[in-house]
Amino acid sequence: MSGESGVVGIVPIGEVKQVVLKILAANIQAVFNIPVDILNGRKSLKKFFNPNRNQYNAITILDHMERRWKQPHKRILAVVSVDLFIPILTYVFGEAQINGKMAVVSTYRLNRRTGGGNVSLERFYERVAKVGIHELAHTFGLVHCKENHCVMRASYSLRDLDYYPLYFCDYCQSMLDDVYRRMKLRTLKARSFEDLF
Amino acid sequence: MSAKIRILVVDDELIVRESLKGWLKKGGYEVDTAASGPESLEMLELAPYDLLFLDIMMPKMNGLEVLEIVKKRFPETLVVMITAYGSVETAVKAMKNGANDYLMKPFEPETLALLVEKLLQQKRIIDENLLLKEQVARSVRFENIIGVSEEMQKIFEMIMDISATDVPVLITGETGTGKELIAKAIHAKSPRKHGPFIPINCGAFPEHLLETELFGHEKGAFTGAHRAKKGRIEMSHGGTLFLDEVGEIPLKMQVDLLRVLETKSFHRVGGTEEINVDFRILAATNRNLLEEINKGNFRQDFYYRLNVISLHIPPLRERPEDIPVLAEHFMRRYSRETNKDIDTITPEAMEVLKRYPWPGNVRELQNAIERAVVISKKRCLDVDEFSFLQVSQKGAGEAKSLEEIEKEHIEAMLRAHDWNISKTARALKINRVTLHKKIKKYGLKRSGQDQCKPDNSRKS
Repeated sequence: MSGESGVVGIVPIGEVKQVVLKILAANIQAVFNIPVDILNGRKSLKKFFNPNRNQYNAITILDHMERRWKQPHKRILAVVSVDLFIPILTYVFGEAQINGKMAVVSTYRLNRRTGGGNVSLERFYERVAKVGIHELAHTFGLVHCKENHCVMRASYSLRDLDYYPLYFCDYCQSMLDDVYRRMKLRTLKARSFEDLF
Repeated sequence: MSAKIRILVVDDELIVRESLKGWLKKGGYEVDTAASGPESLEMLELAPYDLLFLDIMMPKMNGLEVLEIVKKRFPETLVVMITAYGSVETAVKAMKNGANDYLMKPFEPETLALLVEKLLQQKRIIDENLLLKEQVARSVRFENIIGVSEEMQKIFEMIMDISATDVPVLITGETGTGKELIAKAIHAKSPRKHGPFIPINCGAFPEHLLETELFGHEKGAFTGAHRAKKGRIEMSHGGTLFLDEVGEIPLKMQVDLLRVLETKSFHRVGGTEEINVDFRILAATNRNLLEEINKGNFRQDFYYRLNVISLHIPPLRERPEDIPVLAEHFMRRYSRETNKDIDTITPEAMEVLKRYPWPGNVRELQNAIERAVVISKKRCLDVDEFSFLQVSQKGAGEAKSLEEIEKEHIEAMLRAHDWNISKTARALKINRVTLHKKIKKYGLKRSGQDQCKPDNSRKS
């Protein structure tokens, strides 16, 4: 990355493997076509723990980040490896502020295989990327899409998550382009074939 | 579609309200929140909501109390009760009181998503159903009867009131006011709607033919009666018999009909078998039957039998506010029938229509619009298309010189032919030179009324 900060900052909270952050950053950069930075995060998640539910409150995490975060990035995607909830739901894969700045993704449930055991690492990384992209898109104002071939399709189970693709449908892509234009965001320029060699 | 769906979340806990709102907003729904029962009811007064998430345990007014009011005052809103673990009994009670579903906090993401989807699907069906019912009711109630005037609104209300009963109705009104349409509407709204509607114009038959038309005849009843034939009374069994121009029925037949109305039975002409019939009678006339009674032309007992309820349709000149809606209705109908793209009547032309006295009432207006649509070569109906009305209107009763009438007639014909001298001269059966002389003599000039562009889009 150059000295200029990226549009999206990826922030680990608690223990998250670097490889997860790197893969997530690469996927977001590829799908959103905007520069992404991996930032230093916060060590402890204790503040967000709810002993009654034995889970971590996603909304409190987003509120806390919004109050404290001073980085110049337009959007922040937090990554945690603990189980998240919001008060009305038993669990969430991720949470985001619609048209806001903050989103969070949890890797906690994403390695599970239906019927027990774990899925392959490739499948796990793909799921992390899908949830991360989906939640981040909410911060750009995108809502759930009815299209089956769209990462913005609502998924409430791992089965759904595996079924939907990692990219936006044409409609959501054009909505996102509109938002970029309104925000005057700098997108990544495609390099010419010669530049690659 | 989902962008238009409005959801109201009612819960005294801010965190529940906000997290449910946030979750629903991701689905693209429009979401509002209320912190208490009274606040939610105020919001429902101000705007309609498709779906209500309603917490059961709230201070001031609990969810069950709110539910009761919502079901009474806003039955179109679907309600999902939100309950905490351990209060399932209350939730069941809520379901019995009309709640559409309930959720126990915290919800499984998949359960909540499926529930919202299911209820909104249900809501869409309810809305569509309501819309269709309304459309059907409107089309049956006022099929082809159009009127915005207070008089016509009263008639529509009366049709609704009298349709459910079986009482005879006497419809009065000038010729062309739509008496038969009113009769058809009464039949269509009545419990007899699935039975036949049998009209008979009593003024259209000579006495002996009217008798066989009404009562039917047996084979050999008279010369030429090669086979038995059912009459209109018999045909109307289970439905409605409409006697149009009832004032034209000869006195003798009035007696026969009165007996049929009283006994609901009759004999065919030349027959002996008594035939029982069940029908409702509606009658119409443009005559003043009370005057006819005084003159001895109409039987009083027959009149009272028919006139249990009377319904008078005012002439069109007494309700000019109905003219624009009727004119536009006929314009749309005839432009569709003639395959023309005529879609407006200019304000000037409408003024002409409103000023005209319409002695032939709605039927005359209908014919005038049909004629205008047929002759029009433009996309709208302008004053020119109604020149035949102006001529007759101006000519009526006023003392005018022959020259004045000639001037007006030439002017009208010029307008009708779009100031094409050759065509106008041909229509007037004079030569072009004479027409030019007359135009000069009367100082006729083309006015700037040509607001309609010629309809070039129409294919020949």
